[in-house]
Amino acid sequence: MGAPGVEAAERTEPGGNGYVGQSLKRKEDPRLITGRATYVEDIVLPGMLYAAIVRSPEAHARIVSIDTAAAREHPGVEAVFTGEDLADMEAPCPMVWVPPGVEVLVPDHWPLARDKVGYVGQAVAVVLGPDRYGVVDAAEQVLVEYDPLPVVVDPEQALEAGAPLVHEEYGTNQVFEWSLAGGDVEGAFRDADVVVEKRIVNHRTAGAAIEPRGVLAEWREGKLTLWSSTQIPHICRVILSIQLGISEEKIRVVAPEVGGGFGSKLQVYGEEVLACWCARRVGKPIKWTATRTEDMLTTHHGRDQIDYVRIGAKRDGTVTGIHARIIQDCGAYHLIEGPVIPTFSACVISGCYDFPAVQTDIVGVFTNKFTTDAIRGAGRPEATHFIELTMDALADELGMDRLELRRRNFIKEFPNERPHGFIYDSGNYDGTLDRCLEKLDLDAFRREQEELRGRGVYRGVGFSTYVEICGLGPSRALGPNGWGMQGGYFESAQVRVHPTGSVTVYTGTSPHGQGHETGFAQIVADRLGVTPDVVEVIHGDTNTGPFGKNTYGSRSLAVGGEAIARAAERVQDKAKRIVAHKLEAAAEDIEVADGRFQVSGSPGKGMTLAEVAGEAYIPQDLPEGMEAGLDELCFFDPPNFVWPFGAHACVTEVDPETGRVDIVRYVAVDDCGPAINPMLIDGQIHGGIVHAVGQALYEQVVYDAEGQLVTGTFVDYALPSAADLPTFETARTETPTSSNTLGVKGVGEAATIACSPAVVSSVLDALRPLGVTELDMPLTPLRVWEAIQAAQGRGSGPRSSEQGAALDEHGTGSAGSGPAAPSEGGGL
Amino acid sequence: MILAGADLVRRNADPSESDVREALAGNLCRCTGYQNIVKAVLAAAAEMRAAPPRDAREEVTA
Repeated sequence: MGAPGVEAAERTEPGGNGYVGQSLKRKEDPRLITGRATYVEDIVLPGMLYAAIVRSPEAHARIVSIDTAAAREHPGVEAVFTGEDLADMEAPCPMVWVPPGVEVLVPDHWPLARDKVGYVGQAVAVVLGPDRYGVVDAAEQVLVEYDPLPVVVDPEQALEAGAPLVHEEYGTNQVFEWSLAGGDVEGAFRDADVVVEKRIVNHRTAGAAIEPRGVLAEWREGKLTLWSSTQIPHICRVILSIQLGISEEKIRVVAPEVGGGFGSKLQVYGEEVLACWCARRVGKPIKWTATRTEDMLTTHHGRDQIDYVRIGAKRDGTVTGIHARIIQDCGAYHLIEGPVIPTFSACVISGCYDFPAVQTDIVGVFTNKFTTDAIRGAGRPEATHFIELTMDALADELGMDRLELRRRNFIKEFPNERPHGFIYDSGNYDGTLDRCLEKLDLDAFRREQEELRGRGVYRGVGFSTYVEICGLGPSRALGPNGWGMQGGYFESAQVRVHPTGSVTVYTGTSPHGQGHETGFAQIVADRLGVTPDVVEVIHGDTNTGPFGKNTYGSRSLAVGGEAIARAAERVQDKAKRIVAHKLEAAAEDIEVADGRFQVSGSPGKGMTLAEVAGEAYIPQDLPEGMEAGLDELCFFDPPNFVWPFGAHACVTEVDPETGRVDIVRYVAVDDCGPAINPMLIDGQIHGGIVHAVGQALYEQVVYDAEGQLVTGTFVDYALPSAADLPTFETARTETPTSSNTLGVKGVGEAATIACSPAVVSSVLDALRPLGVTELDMPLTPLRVWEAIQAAQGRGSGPRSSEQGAALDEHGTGSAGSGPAAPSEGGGL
Repeated sequence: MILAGADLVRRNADPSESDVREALAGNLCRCTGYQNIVKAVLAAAAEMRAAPPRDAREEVTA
């Protein structure tokens, strides 16, 4: 699926001023730090109404009746709508994964529920009025009568015969089943000397962007404008057009400043469509902003896989095969691409290792919970987690050093076609691990660890060597005839030089904090001989620039940045021809250097970009046949994905009396190809680590057995704070990809994909003397303490209800003897 | 986060990294991992020790 046969891109030397590679300060930061950025919530339109949404308190129920009379009479309320009113909507919320030959069940999912609800928080009615608090009061007066139905929240229970059915019409809760395999998997396990097996729960998490979702829709002069806190304005426009039956050119979608996404805004939500529908219906602008609890309830969740993993190996440590069975909790309904997420686990099932045979079997399951979809890493963190922890278990089984086992099996030849058809572009897995160990000094740590254990202090180190697939992606691999995504995955760019020589770049990517305006300006500045401060990068508005595919899947630089580089090089080519013509030189002798287009070997002879632009826009003396203007477009569809990689090491200290885990050190060495702006890379790595540390130690979306969300605030859903973290030690190696001329790979998800197994492995290493060998995330003090008690043969009694009974998938506590007092240090 | 940092530096002109981390713990950030925010507060504290602003409040709101 790596689109074999497509020629690799050739690297070019753009010349220029050398801004690429520098840690320039972000152009975005002054407006962000001083609070002057414009988010959806900052935009106020005359006559605007606020929307409050009535949401289901039931996880599964038939709607018997909805009485809106009292709400309508509430002072100031202008309208109340229910699912019945939306009968003119042309299509439900779409799900765009249609894999050839695989049946995927896709229940109709409307912006307001029709007849029944399938999860707590499902929108049932909307109340509109000019006072944002008044509409909330009025919404409480909408009386909905529910007839409750049986609820199922555990995906494995949902697959059992006789389980309550989330959608009765299907007669099953299984959404789909499909496999991705390559090599002789059966033979691999038959011929293995050792097979290790694990069941790993990768629990449900939230994107938890600090800016909750928000929309503002305006219908004016027969045209629709939607401002939305989204990662995908262009895709949103297409979907609005389909759902609302409005011709695409009459719709404008704007993603203004977006305060974080992490995949959770790689979505077209019912509220976006609903606000547009309401704006057209009532003829007034409609604003809706999620409360934190609404955001936790109805902004898609991520992960929520149960992974059954097997790795086979020879006695000398050579791996023979890997097999994973993934059970993906899809929730009650799909949004844009939820069911495809575990496919990304399947893509990287081989990890960094030369498995001759691989197989991933995926089962999607309906439960009475909210939708899961892409959250930072999307399938790849889950795979890295189960591959790395199972490799650790294999090392233990073989009595081998964990790193020696990894090195023995590292893929060393590139490009490398994996058994399931993916082609790794480039890599140097020993290189990142070497660098990581240099920084860590493992020998010194082992001595310290031993000495501390003597004093009852339990420290451990864990490693994760990972590879990820990103830079989505080659349309031929991902599109309708490949994986079955109903779209293309190119990216667009337009580079426009203005008559006075400054530059505007339009990108189809849609950043939400990453720093594209800075990094992209560096790429263009080098190619056009100007400084980045005269290069303005415009994004996130469907009325400016060409159709784009937006930001997710660590694609913005590897696909969007490449499109920009190519468009800038087209401008450069034209500028060179103009300069050659004016200075009576050959175009191939013109180079971009020292801020000018000059004749090679004659430093005094040249023109600035402003002078070239003057010629282009006052076209009195252009080369024969050349059009006026200096403005070029590029659509770049990559020949392959990109495959960043790296090695992370985590040192933790565990308090055996309380089970509390502290991260003492964290070393991250990542390779995402040549750096455009090293500071932006470091920022992505820092944030990416913390996102995964959150999952490993603190964060969990918890539903109780009745399907009630019990983590609806940041008090219950614990994001890591500054005080929970050390300063990370980062380093990079640079191995270029052949998938684009910049040589760059993505980095937005890398650290989140890498980190969680390093944390868990380090805790297991710390607790090795106490006999703890298994731990599922999040490693809360209670869970760690219980694991210690169980390993020490001290029953911890019935497990606490921290997870809710239905989600208690661990069962590590031995029954009967009741809680035991924690031992006094030395006895452990 | 800026206000929490400014408040810390006003109370403690020479904070340690852990002082800064504790002072910022009441504000959540999902993007940065806090690393460079912590560094920025430490850098600002060092700069302010070297050349104390006439009015710290002005510095913050300017």
